[in-house]
Amino acid sequence: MTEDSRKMSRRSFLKYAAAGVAAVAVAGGGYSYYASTLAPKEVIPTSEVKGKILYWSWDTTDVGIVDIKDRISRFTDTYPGTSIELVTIPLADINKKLAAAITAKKGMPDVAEVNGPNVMPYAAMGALVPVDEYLNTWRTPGRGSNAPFLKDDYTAVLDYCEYKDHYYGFPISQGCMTVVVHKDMVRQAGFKIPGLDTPNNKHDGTDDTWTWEQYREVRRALTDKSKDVWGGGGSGLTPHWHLWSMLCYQQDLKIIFPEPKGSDKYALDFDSDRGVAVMEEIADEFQNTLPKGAVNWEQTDYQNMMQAKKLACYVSNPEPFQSVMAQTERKFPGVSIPPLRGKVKASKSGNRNLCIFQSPEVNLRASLAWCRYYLGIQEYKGKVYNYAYNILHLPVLKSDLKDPKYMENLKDDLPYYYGVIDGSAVGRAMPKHVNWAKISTAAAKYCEKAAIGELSPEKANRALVDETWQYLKQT
Amino acid sequence: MRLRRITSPYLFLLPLIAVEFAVILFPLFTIVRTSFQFYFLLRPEKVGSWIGLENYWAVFVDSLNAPLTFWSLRNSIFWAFANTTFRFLLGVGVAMLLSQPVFRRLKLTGLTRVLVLTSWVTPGIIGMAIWRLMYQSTTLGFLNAALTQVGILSEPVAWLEDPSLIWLSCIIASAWKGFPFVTIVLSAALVTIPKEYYDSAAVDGASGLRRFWHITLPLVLPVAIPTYVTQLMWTFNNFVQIHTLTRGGPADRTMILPILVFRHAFEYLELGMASALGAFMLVVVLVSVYLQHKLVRYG
Repeated sequence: MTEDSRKMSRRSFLKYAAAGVAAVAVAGGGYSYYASTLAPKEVIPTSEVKGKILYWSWDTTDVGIVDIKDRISRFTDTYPGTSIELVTIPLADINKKLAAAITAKKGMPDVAEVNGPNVMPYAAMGALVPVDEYLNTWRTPGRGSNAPFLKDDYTAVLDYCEYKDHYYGFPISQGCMTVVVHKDMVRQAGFKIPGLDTPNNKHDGTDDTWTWEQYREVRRALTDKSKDVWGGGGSGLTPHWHLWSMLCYQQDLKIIFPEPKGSDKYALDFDSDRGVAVMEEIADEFQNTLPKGAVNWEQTDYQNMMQAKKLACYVSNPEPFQSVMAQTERKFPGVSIPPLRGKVKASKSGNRNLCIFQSPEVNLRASLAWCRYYLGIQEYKGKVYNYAYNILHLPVLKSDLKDPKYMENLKDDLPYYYGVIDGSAVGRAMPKHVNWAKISTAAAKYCEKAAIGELSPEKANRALVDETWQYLKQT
Repeated sequence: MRLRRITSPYLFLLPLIAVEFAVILFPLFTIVRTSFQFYFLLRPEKVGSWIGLENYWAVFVDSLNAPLTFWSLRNSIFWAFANTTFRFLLGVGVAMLLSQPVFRRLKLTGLTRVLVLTSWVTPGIIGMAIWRLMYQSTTLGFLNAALTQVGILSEPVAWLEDPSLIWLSCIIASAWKGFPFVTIVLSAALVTIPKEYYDSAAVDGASGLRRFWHITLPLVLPVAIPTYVTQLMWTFNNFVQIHTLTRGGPADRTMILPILVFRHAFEYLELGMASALGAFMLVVVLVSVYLQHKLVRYG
């Protein structure tokens, strides 16, 4: 071959290579365009759901992992050609990993479980796929779904998923505050445990249960400092703003956001005697019914103390509820978990939401199919099958899934708020870019100061109000 | 040929320079650049815009953030010096002990070094998690159980909450982790001191303390000073230990700068302010490096 013909051949090669690259780019771009504008009214044909998706879950309980793996197995049987890589990351870490991946624009999953207050920040960062049109399609009567949030009269559970008039996630469970108790210790002290020792368990809103005052009475009665035995209190969750928000909820306190949207008026209910009462309650728990140092405790510390029969009760927000409850009951054979009634009830909004993440690599069709499958909207060969909305893990509703009155009871439960920062409040706050993390960190800090006696409850509440106002003014 | 002789050393250095650039210089440059940009992730429309010194003003001057920044700086300086000094004294003591002839006679030097190094090779987070369990404030915690059992304590102590104890507790845990490095470095330095110096001093009637002051100390200082400064820098930047033990609490009592940076970056999503703090910490470390360099030359 001559030098010229080698050059010619090189030129030809480059020409064909450039054409090939251009073709791939057009095809890839076209595919991306196609993926991102997936016609929502289509029922996703089984043949078109293929490929791999990366799914992040924060359910690290053995019960939960078995459940998810079972769902994955059934999904991949329904959609041959798909695979799901499950990665379980503890709740304490998953949001940090997601934030890092979103910032770096790399390493995002296709689908992840996002806890309620984080859906909107991620949506604000442009990281989530809006799912309005799919929700509307799946709501269509006759498509065989009776999931409450897919019915027009119950959209409250979607509050956390809404940002600037669009939805960015599918709620798959709601939360509930419970009390974890040591059965033997409580019974030996002469108390009956609701749900176990009381006769009235009809699940119709009249169940025997503890009120917050009765729970306090139990804690005080079981505390014997000389024997290093403690009635308990506190929260199995850190930071302690969870306890603060729950106690504010007891007192019906909240941050009132501008109404209508865009007006300038905030109001802080906890800037009041009732707000001080919340701090007094916290101080009382950590100084009288919990040992010193409890302000540093994490959930394992509460569990270890209970296992050693040194702690009788603590409040918990198990999430995912069913699997954490099941695991707790298995791990602590002497422990029961009755529901706390009154206003400490179900979360109004979805605590756990399935969100699809925007990235060039997202497998949108398979991700949507997985979300639909998880929600129980089961498609097979183009037909949609009925399912039960079995994802509300309220203890009172465990056995009620087949109860025809289930939905009616559920609707009555739902107007109650969970803590101060409920889904709708967060939703209204987001357009003003309120940095909730700062307010909740401030709440935790002043709760701890009140708990360890560094500040009186009055001063702690005053300082929290002042700092909250500074953050609100910054927005 | 001549050109190749001139350029080839640099070509051999190129991989190292590339790695240094990728792993060290580029991230440092990014941090400094980000510190001058708006980087609040909840406002993506403004992310990346140039805002000059506003982030520095926010963390060092703004009344909302500055008190915690300076509180954290104070804690960081105290933590670095107290921890390093405690660790150093412990390391020196163990090094001196290991240099005693009895260990060599009984052939225990190797075994002792392995035992000493155990804490050094334990991953930091696991070591601190174990200490956290030991410091548990009820009789479930090992320390409280042991000390109440032998009668030293009449009731359990809140090691990680009591303001008079919390820093001591953190320092003890950290010193346990870090003293082996000091021990190994100083043991190596002690071995190089000629035995004849001690023999001559003994003949002249010098006591053990005088021998230490006039022989051991001056000959070990050229190694000890850089080691101390290095330990100081590492401690100043260390995130894992305090975060595992106390997370900067209770109520920000043990807040240090690395944890504050973490809070701004990953909890508040304010990367600009986190970078401003990070850039400040970089300056502190560079000053330490300069001082170390001067001290080494002086030594």
